[in-house]
Amino acid sequence: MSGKRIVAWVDGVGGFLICLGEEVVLGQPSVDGADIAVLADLSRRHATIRREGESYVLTPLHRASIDGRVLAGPTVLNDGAQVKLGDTVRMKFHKPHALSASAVLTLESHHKTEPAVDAIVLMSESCIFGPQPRSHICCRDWTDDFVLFRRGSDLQFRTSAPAEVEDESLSTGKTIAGNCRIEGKGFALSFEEI
Amino acid sequence: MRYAYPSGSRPLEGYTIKRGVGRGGFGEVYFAVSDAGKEVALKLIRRNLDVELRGVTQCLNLKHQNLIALYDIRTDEHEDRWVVMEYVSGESLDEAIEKHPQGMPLELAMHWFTGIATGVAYLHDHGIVHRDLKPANLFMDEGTVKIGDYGLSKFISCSRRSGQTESVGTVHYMAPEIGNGRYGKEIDTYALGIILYEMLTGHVPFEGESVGEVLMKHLTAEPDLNVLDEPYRGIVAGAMAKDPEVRIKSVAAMLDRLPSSVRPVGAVPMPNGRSAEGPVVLTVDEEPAEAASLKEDDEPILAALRSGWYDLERRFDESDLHPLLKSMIVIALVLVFVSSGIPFLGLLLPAAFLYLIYRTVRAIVVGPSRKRVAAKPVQGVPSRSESPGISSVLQERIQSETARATQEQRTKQKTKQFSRQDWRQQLQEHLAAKTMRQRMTELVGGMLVATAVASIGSLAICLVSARGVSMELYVWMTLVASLASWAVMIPTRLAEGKFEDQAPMRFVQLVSGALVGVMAWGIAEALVLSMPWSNIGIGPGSGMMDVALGFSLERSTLADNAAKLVRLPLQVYAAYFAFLFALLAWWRQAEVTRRSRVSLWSVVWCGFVAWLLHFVWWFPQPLGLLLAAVIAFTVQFSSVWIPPSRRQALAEGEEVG
Repeated sequence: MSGKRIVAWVDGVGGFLICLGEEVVLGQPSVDGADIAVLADLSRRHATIRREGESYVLTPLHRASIDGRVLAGPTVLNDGAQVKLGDTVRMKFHKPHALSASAVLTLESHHKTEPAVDAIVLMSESCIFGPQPRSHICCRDWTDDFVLFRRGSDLQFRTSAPAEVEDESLSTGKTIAGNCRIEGKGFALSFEEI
Repeated sequence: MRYAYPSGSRPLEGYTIKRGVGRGGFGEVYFAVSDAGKEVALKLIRRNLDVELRGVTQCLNLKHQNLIALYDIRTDEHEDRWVVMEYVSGESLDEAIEKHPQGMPLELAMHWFTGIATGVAYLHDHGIVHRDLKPANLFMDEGTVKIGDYGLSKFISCSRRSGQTESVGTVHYMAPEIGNGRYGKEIDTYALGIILYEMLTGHVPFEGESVGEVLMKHLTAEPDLNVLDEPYRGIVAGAMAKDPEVRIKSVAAMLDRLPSSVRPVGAVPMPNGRSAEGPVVLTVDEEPAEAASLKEDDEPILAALRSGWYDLERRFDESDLHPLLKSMIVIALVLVFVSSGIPFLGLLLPAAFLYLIYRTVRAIVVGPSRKRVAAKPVQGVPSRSESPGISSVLQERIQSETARATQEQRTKQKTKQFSRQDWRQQLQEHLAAKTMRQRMTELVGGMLVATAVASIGSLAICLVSARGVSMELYVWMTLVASLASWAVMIPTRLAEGKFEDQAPMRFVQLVSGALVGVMAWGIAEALVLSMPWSNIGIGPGSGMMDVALGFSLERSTLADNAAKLVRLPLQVYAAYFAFLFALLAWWRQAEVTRRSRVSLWSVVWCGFVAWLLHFVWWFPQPLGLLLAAVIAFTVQFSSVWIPPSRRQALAEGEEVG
């Protein structure tokens, strides 16, 4: 386990695993195994993805391919890359926002993750929830963006829509810690630490 | 989008909510995980929907790969019910269609369609009508189509009058007969036709800016099917037939018409094989829709009479017969009735008397219990005869929905609506907002026309009926008919859009009728006019009231009994006209929203009532009934009338031209 992870449960949109570490391990679920646990025919530690500056490098520990090419060693992931792990797990790698180094992994084969989420965000400095396709987490019916960003070791958020945090322990207002719920006009989401 | 339960809450023992998924007509749906890790969807059904839950219970043990599985129904500590069901994570058909704005590839569309149709056929086979098929309820989970929300689609046998449903279907997929309270499986076939069309073209066949516009198109417009290729054009056309009787018989038949390459083999569980003409599986008695007008009073005899009457009236008014022919039919009917009226009346009066007694008893015995039933329709299943018709409940629902939609739209300065009641109300508001000046202009114009029409009408009457043309009689009739029609038009125009019940209007008419009577007497006196009368019914002074009050016309007032001419005192005129005015809803004939400009039917009706009245309060006939008919004709002909085609536009906010 190489970094902190939280799940964003966005009402009416979906569930999203946000990985805050520099490196994530992909593999089968196990006690001290993968950050991104896929319920599939994989090894416990099947591959790692590491952020290096603006780019991401995939290191295969077991059989993996990118866009059909079987990997022999660490390979840089480009926007839109099709990653295949083992024989059946297919996922798409995206860097939707030009100004953010954060990336999104979406499972394309019908495998489930643990916890079950719709996509995985490898969060660099910020993670954008919003109606535009360039958002990391696309929330079609929203009117405003909601941005999660790092400040020091804290996670904070900003949004142009008025929002309130429904947890009295968060007296600081805009800092996200532990499990909390944020509601605003036209949106609501909860964060769960795992 | 607000959800009552945030992530992490545990309204049900054993399940932790993760997030809200969506909101259906019934309540919120959540994604939750059981303590052991089972992913489920939890559908919250607020209390007081017990009746609906019967439907879910019937569906709990259905098994089909194309149906979202229902696991259980649980009750939480707030007495709210939760349906625990399979969580489907794939995309909905809604999203899939959105990805292909020009229509999805045929192969994909057929994958969806065969899955949906197979699942729906299974439901129908088990006696369940989905009633809310729409792309947002259909999902693709790991390559398998899943139909959702069917549990709430109610079991047919108990759903027909459960009434309080929220799931009436999105209007885009709503079959026309739903407005009549018909909920056969044909409505699913219709929805499937629309869905097939939408998948292949990327848009629904009937689009509109308002709920009303779309509903109206379902009822009247023909879809543009030229964009589709055969055999899909034929299938959509067959499934979208307005008349459920002509629609494709079953979903299985729809599947059968697909090219064999895309047909799922053996997937349709029809008990009689997969024959297109197989017997209809559902044996449900289709209760025909009751007319909304019966809603207020469904005493069976009166209701039957009334609906028959309305029907006859409507057919007569709307028939394409030449007006001249219509008039001749009417005159012939009147003559027949008058000539044979006396023995006929002998039968009619006792019958009416008996009915009156029956009605009184019924009101005492049945009335209070009926009210109780109507007030609490959800408490158990009301017995068949006492239950409020589903159609009226739906009607109300549509109305309330309309009202809500209207409210929403009004804020956008865009008022469109669809139900007749609703545009009536809209129009009512519009009329109430008219300035006094507008009213006066309309009124004065109408009054001038009325005079002209009255004089022509009177002339016609005098020429046809009066024995020997009398100038005085003609003048009297013209003047009285004009005055009387003014007396109807003036209050109607002034009160336009102000009163919703009839009591005030009746009273106003009683007074103005009396006034007209006084003036009629005054004119007759001034012209030294004797009224001719024939014995069509009874002779002078033998009306019920005349007898009862001991009010008899003195012999001296009978100017010439042999020639059947009579001069009447003031009170006879005043009372006759007052009664005549109060008895009939004259203002209806002057309303801008009446069904047709001139309804010969109501002209005849007015004459008939005038004739009936003379049994109670004698007045020379046929003069009285002819006069009433002329007044009715005059009022209708000269009052402002907005053609139905313009009403919609007007209700949408256009100014009166």
